[in-house]
Amino acid sequence: MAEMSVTTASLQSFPKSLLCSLSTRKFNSSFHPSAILSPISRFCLISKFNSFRFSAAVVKAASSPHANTKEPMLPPYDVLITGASKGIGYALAKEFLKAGDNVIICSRSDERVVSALDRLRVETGKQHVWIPMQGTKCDVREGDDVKTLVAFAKEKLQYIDIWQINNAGSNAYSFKPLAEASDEDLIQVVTTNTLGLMICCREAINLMQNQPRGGHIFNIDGAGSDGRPTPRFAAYGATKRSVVHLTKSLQAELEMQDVKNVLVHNLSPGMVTTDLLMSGANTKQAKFFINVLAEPADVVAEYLVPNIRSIPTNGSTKATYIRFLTGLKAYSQIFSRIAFGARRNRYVLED
Amino acid sequence: MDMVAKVHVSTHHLLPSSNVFRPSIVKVHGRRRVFVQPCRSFKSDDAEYVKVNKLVGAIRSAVWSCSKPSLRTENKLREAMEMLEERLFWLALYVGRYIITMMSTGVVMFVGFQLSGGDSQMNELIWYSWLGGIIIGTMIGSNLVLDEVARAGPRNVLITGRYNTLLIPSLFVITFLIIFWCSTRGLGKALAREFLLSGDRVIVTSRSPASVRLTIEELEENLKEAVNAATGSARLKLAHAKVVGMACDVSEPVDVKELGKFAADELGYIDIWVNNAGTNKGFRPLLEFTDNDIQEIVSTNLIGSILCTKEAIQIMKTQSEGGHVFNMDGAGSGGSSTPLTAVYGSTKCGLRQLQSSLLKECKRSKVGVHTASPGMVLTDLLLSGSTIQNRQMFNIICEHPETVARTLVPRMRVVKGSGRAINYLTPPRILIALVTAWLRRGRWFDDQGRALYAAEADRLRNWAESRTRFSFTDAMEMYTENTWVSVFSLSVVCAFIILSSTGST
Repeated sequence: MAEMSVTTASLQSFPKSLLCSLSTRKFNSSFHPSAILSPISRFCLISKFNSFRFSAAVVKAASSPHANTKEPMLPPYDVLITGASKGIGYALAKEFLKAGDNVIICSRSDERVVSALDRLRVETGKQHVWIPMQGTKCDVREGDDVKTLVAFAKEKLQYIDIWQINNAGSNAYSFKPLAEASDEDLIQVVTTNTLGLMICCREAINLMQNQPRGGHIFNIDGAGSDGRPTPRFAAYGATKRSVVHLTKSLQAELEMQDVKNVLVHNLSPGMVTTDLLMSGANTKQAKFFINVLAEPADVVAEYLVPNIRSIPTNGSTKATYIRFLTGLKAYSQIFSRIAFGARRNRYVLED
Repeated sequence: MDMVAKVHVSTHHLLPSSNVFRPSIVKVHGRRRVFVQPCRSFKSDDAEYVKVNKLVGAIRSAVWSCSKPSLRTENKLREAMEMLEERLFWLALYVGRYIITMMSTGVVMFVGFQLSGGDSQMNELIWYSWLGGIIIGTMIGSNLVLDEVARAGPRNVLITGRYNTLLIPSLFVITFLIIFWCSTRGLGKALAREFLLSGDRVIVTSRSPASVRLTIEELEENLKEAVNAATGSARLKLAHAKVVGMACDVSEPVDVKELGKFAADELGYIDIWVNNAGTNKGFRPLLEFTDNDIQEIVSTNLIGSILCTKEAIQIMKTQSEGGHVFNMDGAGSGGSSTPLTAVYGSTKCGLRQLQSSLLKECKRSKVGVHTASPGMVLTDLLLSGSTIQNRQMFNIICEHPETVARTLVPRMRVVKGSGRAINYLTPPRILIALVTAWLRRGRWFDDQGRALYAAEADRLRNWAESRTRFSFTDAMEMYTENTWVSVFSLSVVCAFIILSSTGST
């Protein structure tokens, strides 16, 4: 039985690009009844029909006034970052500010976001950073909060070019087996990472497809998003895996709807030495990998922000997956650590 | 002689495994108990032997009834002929399966011989690998079968989300990727029924108390019928079976805790926990989902599964024999994109990752974490809004929930270790479905898309007659699947050796 299931899995994990190209072609290709030759080709035809059903539902969403009139997106970009009060979100906000963009940040807690705003203004010396209505928090899990945020952004900046959905920040700061985790933590992890992200994505697409300049949405992935196991933070890994899958589905969905001006990207910061990661540095293995692979948020942001900004600058219309920690980089770092002992005790002391 | 004969003739059953018709079973209750039923337990050669004996008996009675004028009544003759036909069909089926298996291995062997180019040493190697393949396959198959026989006692099963609404597995079908969606309202129920009729104690849950009550009533009715129909050891087996239930919202930690407590009180021990709860709110772009829709999908699919799995693991860790948790797959589990059901797909995809993490976490404990994938299941929700063309496709690949449950449950009951994936749509099955697509045209729907299959109640009545707990067919299927795997893998090894050796000389 086991062998059989492996084959099924490998069947399913076929290159996705193929699927995407197929699904778009299905719409444009005209249907020839004479193509029914064999059961196999019949089967394919049925799949075409299959998508015709979808198209009816889809046209409505696609017929937005600006869907196909594209204005070039010019710097300074208008950037919205959720969950930007600390960690990678804060670093990204700072980098964008340094690059001269207009930034809106938000967070779940008012004090934290206010202090983040002050620090950003002081550290970068730039003033074009805002928070939505002082003293009000923005909980991404609440649809109304997100709508308020969007309304504020529209009023303040008119457009949002880049929306960083950055609520990577929830693991409830606990690393233990699922069976020992508390229910409240689990619910918090799932709702923030998955539910919040979905609602943000929906609002972002809704807003951006009506913008003449279009827009780019960046979803931030995390450990487990490649499907690899994440023991001790199983719920977090599952949510991050679902984030990547959501991005993929949304890309396919937008392509089906013929929405060309909104792109959904993935952004992979790799391992960042935030509180979130450091709270898990209590096993030998974790310490080893943190020392070898992790980088401070500023370093990561310095790499990511130019990459993000180059997408609208080049007018690229392809969905991307920007990775800080690529496989090659990771392996070479692990190698140099094992071979030369580099990066030992860099952030945390190893035994 | 009082001949009270109640004849149930079930006419149109389908094997879960293939497109082959399951032979109808004729039961005649009465003074003369002509009791023809599929073999209930499978003991390698014995079963075959009994079967042959039955075949001989059937032929004899047919001949007898034809030749003896006093018995030559229209009814009896037809009855006897039907019986004979059915027996012959069965025999042909088994022979056919063996032939197919052997032929495929023969093909591999032939290719091997061709490649070896008459080298006697190589030919020997091929023969050995073939033999090895057959032996390993047989051993794996018979191990599964014997395990089922050995662990015949009742299991305690807990199934959440009887009313789960949608499972949309996407599967790669050799030529093109087609995203299948299917609803399984009632897959949970079908699973529960199957467990129950295997003699297990089952707890069912659902969000609404009313539906739990209804389900329990229905399942108890089914159980009663089964007990009445069963005899001897089968009846004994069903003696422990019972079904209870409680309403539970799986996304509420309090409810889940309560459920765990209820299960512990009611059963004392949980062997199998099936997380079947899942929901989807229709097929449309993400923009058209409301906040509540998204929240409900996420909380049922992801939070519900996480909380239930957690509770299950907690309970099972304290049990001496551990236990097994099953999470149900759906569209997106494999990582393929699911446009128009983005939320559902991503939750299911997340669950697959959760499964792999849990596998690591539970490595040292006796708790097994598994997935079960039902494939496409034919239900009302699937049909709502489907076009005629869709329905033509459903003909090819869809199955009734009962069929799926019938295949999944025996495998779930004997599951061992951890991290197993129990799939309904295995590659051989997909292949068979594709190859026989032409024959399957009018299976569930006709050209106009009208349903041709019976309602659930009728279906169940028919099933009651044709059902076997762990039939010979299942055993055969396990045997052949494993033989295939081992034969092919060994032949690959052998081909590799041949190729490398021919290259060097």
